[in-house]
Amino acid sequence: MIARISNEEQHYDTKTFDEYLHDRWNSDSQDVTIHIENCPQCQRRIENMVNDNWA
Amino acid sequence: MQGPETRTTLIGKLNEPASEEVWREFVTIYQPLVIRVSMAKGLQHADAEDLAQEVFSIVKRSITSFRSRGSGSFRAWLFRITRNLVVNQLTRCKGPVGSGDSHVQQWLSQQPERDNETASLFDLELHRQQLQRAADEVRPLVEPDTWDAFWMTAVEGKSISDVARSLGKSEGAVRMAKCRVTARLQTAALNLSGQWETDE
Repeated sequence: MIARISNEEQHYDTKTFDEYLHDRWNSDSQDVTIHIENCPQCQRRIENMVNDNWA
Repeated sequence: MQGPETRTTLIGKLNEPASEEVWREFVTIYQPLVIRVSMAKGLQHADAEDLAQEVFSIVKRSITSFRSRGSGSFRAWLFRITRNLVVNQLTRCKGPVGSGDSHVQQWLSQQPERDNETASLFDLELHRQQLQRAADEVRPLVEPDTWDAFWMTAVEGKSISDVARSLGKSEGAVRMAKCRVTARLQTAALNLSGQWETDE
């Protein structure tokens, strides 16, 4: 089950971002990929996740 | 992510009779590192290659005693071996200690910060080598376009918009391709690091 953040419609949670980054999907990923690649807010959060891992 | 038991086991396998594959992996990672650090400290390439062989020979002979100590960083131990051999090599090449203001003298009289500087160089080269190995692992696992988007933006420094135009992708797709490859490199490099390190 891919979880969206309940109080922010259309956006996904950190666990889903992690699955997206590493291709660790349990279900259909097409909707998530399309959303993320068109959502600047999700993209910023993912970029922050990746940058934080260099620290 | 590797646990401590797996990490120490892998290092321990260096000394087992059937450890050729592990040993090749070790040499693949550390030979370029030892050579680069040695050359950075003043050795010629051929001498640096010989020194690397000497380092590996010492590691092979001494890995059991290193492990029996039970603690300490494998990386730090390897650095000390390399550093000492470089000092010896430079001493042999350049004459007796204190005979002038040579590179040798700088090394032998080095202040703690100079040693720290060399340790940092060693760590930097180790991370560079681990990242290169990680790239070799990750590249076949991602789509060519995804890798290209990562490479052109993260390594070649091209702008997201230029790469998007060049690859016929949206800017969002390029930004995310860069993130996805970077995340995989981070994971692969972390695993490599864990395989060849003990607890500090």
